[in-house]
Amino acid sequence: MSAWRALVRRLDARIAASVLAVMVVACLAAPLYAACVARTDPFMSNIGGSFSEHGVTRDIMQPDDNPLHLGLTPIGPQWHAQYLLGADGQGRDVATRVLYGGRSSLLIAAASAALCMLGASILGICAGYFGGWTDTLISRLLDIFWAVPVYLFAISISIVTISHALRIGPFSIAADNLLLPIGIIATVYLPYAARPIRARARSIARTDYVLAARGYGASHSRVILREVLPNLWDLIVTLAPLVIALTLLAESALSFLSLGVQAPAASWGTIILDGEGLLYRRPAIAIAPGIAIVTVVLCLNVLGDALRAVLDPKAGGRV
Amino acid sequence: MRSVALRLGQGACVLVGISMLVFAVFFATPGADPTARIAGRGASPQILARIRHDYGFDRALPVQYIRMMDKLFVARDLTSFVDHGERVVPEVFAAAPVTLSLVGGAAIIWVGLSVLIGVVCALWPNGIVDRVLMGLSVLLLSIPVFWLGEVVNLVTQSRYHDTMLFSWVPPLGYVPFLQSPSGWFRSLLLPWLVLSSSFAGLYARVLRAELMAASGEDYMRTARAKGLSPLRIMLNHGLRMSWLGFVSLFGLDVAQLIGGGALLTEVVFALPGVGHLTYRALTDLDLPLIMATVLYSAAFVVIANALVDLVYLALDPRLRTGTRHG
Amino acid sequence: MSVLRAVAAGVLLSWTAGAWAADPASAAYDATGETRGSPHRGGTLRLTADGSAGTLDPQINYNTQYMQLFSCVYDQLVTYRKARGRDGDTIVPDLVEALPTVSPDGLTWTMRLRPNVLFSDGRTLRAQDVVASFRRIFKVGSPTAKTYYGAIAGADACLDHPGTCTLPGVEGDDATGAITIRLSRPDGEFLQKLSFPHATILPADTPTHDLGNTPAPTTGPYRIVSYDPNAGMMLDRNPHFHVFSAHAQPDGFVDAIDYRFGLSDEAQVSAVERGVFDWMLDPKPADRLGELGAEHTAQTHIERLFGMYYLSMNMHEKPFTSALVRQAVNDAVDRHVMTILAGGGAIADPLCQMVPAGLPGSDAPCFYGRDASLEHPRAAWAGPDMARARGLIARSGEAGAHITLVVSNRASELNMGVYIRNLLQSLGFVVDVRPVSEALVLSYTQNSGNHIQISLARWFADYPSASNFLDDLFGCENFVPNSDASVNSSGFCDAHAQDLMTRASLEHDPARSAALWADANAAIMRAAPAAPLIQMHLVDLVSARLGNYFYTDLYHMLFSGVWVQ
Repeated sequence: MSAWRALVRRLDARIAASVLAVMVVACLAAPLYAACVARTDPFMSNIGGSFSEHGVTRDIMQPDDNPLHLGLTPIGPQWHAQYLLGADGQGRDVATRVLYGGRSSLLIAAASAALCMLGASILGICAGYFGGWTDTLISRLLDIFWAVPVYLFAISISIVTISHALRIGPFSIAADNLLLPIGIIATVYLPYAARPIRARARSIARTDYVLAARGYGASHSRVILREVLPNLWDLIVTLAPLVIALTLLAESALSFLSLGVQAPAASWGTIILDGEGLLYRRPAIAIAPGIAIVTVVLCLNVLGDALRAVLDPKAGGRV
Repeated sequence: MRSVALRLGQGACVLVGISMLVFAVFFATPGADPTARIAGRGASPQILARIRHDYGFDRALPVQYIRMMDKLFVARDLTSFVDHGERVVPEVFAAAPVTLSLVGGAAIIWVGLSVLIGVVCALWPNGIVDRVLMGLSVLLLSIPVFWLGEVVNLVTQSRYHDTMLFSWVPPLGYVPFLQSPSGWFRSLLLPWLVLSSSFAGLYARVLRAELMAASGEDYMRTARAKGLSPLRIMLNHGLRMSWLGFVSLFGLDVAQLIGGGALLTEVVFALPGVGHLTYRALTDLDLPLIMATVLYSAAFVVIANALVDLVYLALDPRLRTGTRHG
Repeated sequence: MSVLRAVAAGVLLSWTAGAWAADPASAAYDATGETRGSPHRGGTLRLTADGSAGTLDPQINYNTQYMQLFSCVYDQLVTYRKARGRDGDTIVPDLVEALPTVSPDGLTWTMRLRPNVLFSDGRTLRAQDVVASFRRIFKVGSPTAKTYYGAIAGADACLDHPGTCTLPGVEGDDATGAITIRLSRPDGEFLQKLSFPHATILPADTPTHDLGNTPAPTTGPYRIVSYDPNAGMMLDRNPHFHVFSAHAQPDGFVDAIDYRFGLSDEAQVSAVERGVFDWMLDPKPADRLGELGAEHTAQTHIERLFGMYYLSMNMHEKPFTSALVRQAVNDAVDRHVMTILAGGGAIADPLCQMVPAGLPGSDAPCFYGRDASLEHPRAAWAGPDMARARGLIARSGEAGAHITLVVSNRASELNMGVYIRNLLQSLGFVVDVRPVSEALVLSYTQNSGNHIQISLARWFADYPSASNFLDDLFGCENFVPNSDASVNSSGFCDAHAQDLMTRASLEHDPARSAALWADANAAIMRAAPAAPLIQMHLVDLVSARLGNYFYTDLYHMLFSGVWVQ
């Protein structure tokens, strides 16, 4: 509890947490925004459409004014309830899409971080606690995940699922299922989180109280649950926001390479990719989701630092 | 000596595992059968059957795997499925200098910048300069590299290209050093800065933390008691004691980047390096090139990992981790 | 930033839509084909493309990018005239003195080689080179070996046993230069196929395997000096070239061609605008079109292509087994929206039948959309008819079916896919879009074993004939179950339409042939195995220093016809 109070007293933690909360709430409220403010369907293309403002009706796709009649450009930011940030190449409201994109991005980042931390804890504790061959096997397995390029992994899996859903036992995962990027990203960052946990578990396993507990004849599972896990808790809590920040960045990078979230669903990365095709004419489409990513990742990093400072004052700003 | 051999043997096993994984994934992929793509549009069944036989696609998978490994490592004449006749091994080595130029320059920038920031912050901890610089570091750490690259391109290639500030920026792409040293420098300056940005932020934080931890140690207190200037102490003692974590982190990151981890930067700035080659091989589903680039990159990562482990075994039982960035 | 390359697109065809400046220098060029003495002769033409296009073997490569380049490097027996506008749609003798004489039964083709053509290695072209080159088509397994050259006597044996291929149907006499080609069955389009780049004539001792990155000796004004698929290609003048036909192979203006690979489309546009390169290959990004039209008007050329986008519907997969559903898709799709997605009305036109406008056989009526019906077709498409489409779906009883739409993962096609998904949803289907790597999409969607329901496809002509669209895409022989190479991805096979197509391809009278193709086109469109969407135009961007912009129907910008000095 004292750690919690110390955290709340920190100004940087308070600001970061508030901004983060605002972002999350805004993204969760995306359907509300779409229905009440923008009054558009962010997933329905609206190419032949028009919108009216102050009684003037304008086409959403504006023909470019040049002698060759080349090109059409979606309307730019209106700074107004409708088309606040303009329209994208499909004539859809960019602001609404950024909010909806945030839902996917944040969901994938949080879920993959949770999955990653869970897997990393299990692997890290097993490797660190048992040592010996278990340790070698798990460490080399993590090496493989570490050494295979992220993108290869993602592309392979997304291609395997292009036609047939991926079947694991009774579960069937289609290519546009969010579980796919979640699983990929969680696997990619598994070694990142597992290694420090393994190192800590290893040193805990050699402490007197663990050796003593074993000496009294306590079972492995009991020792892990009663002695090892409680002493790892602060490390896991400290790592969590940093891992979420990393998974969010990874999600956007994969989606930017069109390997993550599949159209027509949107995430911040896919909106940046959409905007890349219109970068020189309508930079707002690519810039807005980028700013959203930077804001969330920044808040998570600040929060992570604050947590570490509170839970593990000796470590300072160690990463 | 025995532990060195053991660790290297394990590294080799990891590489074999990766190559089998890549091979299996490729052939498990529906529609990845390269025969029709090698033959060309609308080829007749006879032509398809011939190509399947010529390339050995009618053999059992383990045989195909052995044959491919043999061609890749022993004969070194494995050719692409897309650019017929293009040998993939020289292709990877031809792309390597571009990546080396990119990563080398970026590494110099991020190490220089992070040492500067780290030392300044550790000299005056918790002051205004420390806070501003650490805030800047965490901001740099939070920017997606591909997005930063896009924004830099927007500003320097389009919006403000014609202004005095950015008229020196050449079109995207790579200029070999031997062709024009100044062109090489200009074509790489922005990619260097973009790639190094997040690493500079990360390393500055790591270094500051290491220096702060070191400043609490006894010998530092002794040095201070002797009346040495804070900067001298920091440079002589602090940096020397903090080098191990810093260098091992650096080794892992650089190995990963040289192996193709700078993919996003290379793609955004159209630099024909190893990462770009990997990306192209993957989008074309060109198995020989995928195999070559993946093993090339994995080799760097595995060797660097093994080296760092060995260094630690020799010097320090603690183990550290690196991070990966695009 | 799509780092994707056109994989197996055919030769793009087009005609020059706008007028070109008639200037004296180009007139002189057309008359003699000679550039010696021209003040514009010399310099290096600098070209740029996202990626390279594979093998240098002209008998294997089936990629637009190199077919354009090979047009001023290699020669066939006959070729399309290197002329602007509709003149470029006519076939002229290339390495032979006159067009072949055909026997009354259409089976024996005789011609005579020009006597003084030299390869770039100094050797003289002989009849045995021609015989060996036709054999080589089969020995190296050219993709069109069966479809284009399968009518040559002995071709079947060569297809089955390429190692021992002798191809008795092609004979040549080195002394007289006489060439005789005997066919085992008549082929109304054999002349067009002789002009196709896979029938390039190479020296007789050219290795009988894919040449890969090694260039073969050439007969055109240029030769390939170096090639690195990841960096670029250099061409210089063929030292042994002299103009043997002004129409078939004129001399080039530039001394060298430097082709660089690796720039993204956006970077290519910037580089050409700044004069770093003289020409770029790839489609112009949508956000740069306005800038090109406004600031680089004189450097931007809009040319029409014989190429189209269409929706291929698999007649063997529900719900497209029902003709009502396929017709409903044709009624519902807003082709005007598709033109906007392609970059606007200046770049694309709505298309309501399966042959691009301008080709014989394209004047089939439009059965679909507003104010049109199977009984009362219109001359042109007038807009979508959603109400009738919904009625057809209701009658078919397929409403609520689950549909997966396959598209290439290129940005422009993904955009089209998102629109079509919305359209099918509003017809009452449950729809997923499945983007597939550009490298895979063609073979993946063709294989009936993958059970594709509907896919967005694009198709370009190899030579200017309706057969390239109707027979290729809907001919019974082009449907091969469970094969990655089954061009007829709809699985359409109709006796009446097939009969019309066979008769059209054997008909020598152009007017009657065109009428038969139009009938076949209409018969196919009634059954609606596909929904034609738009016909594309080509937007070419050149540097300010490039002069005498020269565009031909078949070969696009002719690298030998433009100058940079």
